[in-house]
Amino acid sequence: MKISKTTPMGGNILTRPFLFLSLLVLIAVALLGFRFIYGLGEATNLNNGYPWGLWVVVDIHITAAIGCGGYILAVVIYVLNKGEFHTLIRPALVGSTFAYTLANLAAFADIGRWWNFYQIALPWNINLNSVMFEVAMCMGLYMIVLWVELVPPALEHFGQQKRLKTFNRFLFLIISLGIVLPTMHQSGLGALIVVAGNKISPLWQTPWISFLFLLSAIIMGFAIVIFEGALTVLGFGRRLELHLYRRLAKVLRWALAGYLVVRFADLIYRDALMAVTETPARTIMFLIENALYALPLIILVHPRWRGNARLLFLSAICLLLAGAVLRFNALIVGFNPPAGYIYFPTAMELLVSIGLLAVEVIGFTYIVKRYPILPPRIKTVQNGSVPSNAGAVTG
Amino acid sequence: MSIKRRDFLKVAVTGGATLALPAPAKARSNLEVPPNAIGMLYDATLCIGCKACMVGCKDANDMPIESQDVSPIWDTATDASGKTLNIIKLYKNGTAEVKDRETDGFSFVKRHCMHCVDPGCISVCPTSAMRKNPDNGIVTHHPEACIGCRYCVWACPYNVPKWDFEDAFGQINKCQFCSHRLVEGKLPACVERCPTGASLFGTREQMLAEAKRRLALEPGSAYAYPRRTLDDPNRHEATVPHYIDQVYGETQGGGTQVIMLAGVPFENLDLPILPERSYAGVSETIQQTVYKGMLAPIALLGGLMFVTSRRVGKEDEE
Repeated sequence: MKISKTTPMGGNILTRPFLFLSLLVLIAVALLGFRFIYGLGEATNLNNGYPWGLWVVVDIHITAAIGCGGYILAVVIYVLNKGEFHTLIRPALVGSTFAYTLANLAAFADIGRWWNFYQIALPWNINLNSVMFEVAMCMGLYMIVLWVELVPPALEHFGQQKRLKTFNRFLFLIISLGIVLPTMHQSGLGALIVVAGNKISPLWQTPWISFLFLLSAIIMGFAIVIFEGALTVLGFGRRLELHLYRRLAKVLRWALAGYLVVRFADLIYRDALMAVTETPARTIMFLIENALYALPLIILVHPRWRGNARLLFLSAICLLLAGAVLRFNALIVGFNPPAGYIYFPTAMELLVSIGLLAVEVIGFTYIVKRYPILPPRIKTVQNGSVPSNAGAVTG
Repeated sequence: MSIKRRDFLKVAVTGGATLALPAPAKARSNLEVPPNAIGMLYDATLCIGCKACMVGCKDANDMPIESQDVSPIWDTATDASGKTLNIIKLYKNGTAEVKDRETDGFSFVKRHCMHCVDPGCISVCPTSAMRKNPDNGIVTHHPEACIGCRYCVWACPYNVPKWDFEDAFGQINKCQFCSHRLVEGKLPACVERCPTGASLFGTREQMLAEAKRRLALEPGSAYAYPRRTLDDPNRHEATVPHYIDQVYGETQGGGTQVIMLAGVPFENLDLPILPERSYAGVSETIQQTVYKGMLAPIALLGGLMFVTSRRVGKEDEE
């Protein structure tokens, strides 16, 4: 890996947005403290009809899917052999690392007997039939893999060239694991609902749910790469590498078309489309979910629209929301609780989820400002000249 | 790009596809009934809703009463919970005039763990904290191994396991068939306290036979219903009601060890309509096909390692 191609963005850490987001994080930390002292019953509106709520859906399922940027770029670069996308992988890995770390922390906060969490790793407790076991193990391991994948920028930052070389020799193993593990647990996160049988509406209870969750996670991976790219352009005034994003959009177009074909072929084949009228909430949420998939497809199939930075950004946002709504629907809206139970998250649940998303944003900003993650702002840096406004803080 | 690389890619793609696509045949079939399966027969038509079984259950399991009152004196639990393992519920329709009639009638139902033949809670538990006795088939929960993920609460088709949300350091609670009393040679507390024989204890086989005997009786005729166990001489003479012609729990979701009879359709009694194929079997078929000997993940990993080992470090030289 050539080190000259990435550089710290530099600049002030303690900006006003940073301080505001830090406040949100502090609130979330305080509320999590409350949760650990007073319990899930006091902190959340979870109940024995809806034992899984906002934290499971947003902070585990959706956050992990948003963390698929590193995964899809690893596939694009190393499996599909497109080395030119390498400039995008470091920022994607940073985003993924934060996402997965938070998803694991959220899982720890959501389990009712957190002091007992190590029981899942004890050999005599292993239940290979449990989808939860597979998902928990893979998500934990993948979080470690992601942190290891961030070792190269750290070694560069501290000028450890020799160690970097040694490390890179084993990088192929880490990268391979970094593709296998998300393939396993992103499909597993969908397979979680199979065992609930008729407790899940036929709109979402399908033998294809693993495939749909995996493919939608892959789509979200593409979307988050485009989304992050656009934000770093806005935030750091970098040049937009539109040609790269256009090419990603071309692949994304096929993934998206494939997703919608499988989604509706399955619904029609199982004669499940009528379930859309089960409840008004299901009608509305099913339509929103699929509209959020259909709209970007319309944009992405048109070469001119696909090439438009704004429309591409809009497509990415739609697809991130679509994946989020799919997960929310499959786990909450499509869930048939026992009679008499309702669930709506408490303000505490919402603030914790918001705070955890804020961690991701400020963590990402901090790391790209201090460590060599992003390509330099000005093209001329390739000739060796250091841009006057970047990289000054590394010393 | 060499041909060899292509071959390895194929292996990797096949491995990856196996991980996510719907599972083909070679299903994990429903689990068998354990050799000495014990059973309970609950006949809703005999139940008078006295809730003596609920009191017995709380006594036997040392559990507090539940109430919304300021100074509670009665147990007024409205559903099974972390503090209530067994509950009598009421179905009523219209004028609720006649017992065991769907229209303008009413019925009680006793809800607690069904002790499935092929339990979903055991299939889902990531730490094996739910276990089924291989001999008598009792499904027990072991909090010392539980991490509190509540997957069992979420997945149980009968909504039986309950997390104690009132306790910051709580646990899952569910009926354990009074296994602590059975080892002392006692009956399950709910059966022991039942004054009418609505709850009956025996082997699963005996209970199924007794249930079918009752279904074959002429409605309106007299029958000496056994109390507690089949051989208890203290019987309860009653008129045979119009039963719904179904032994609930014989096959539902792979069968249960608690089986039920009723005079109103079971779906009115908070009991789900389930296919014979257990959901645990469906889910485990997928898991076992995908992860059989970990072949698919290993194929994927091996293929990827081959491909990436040739790529890493060269990505900028394209």
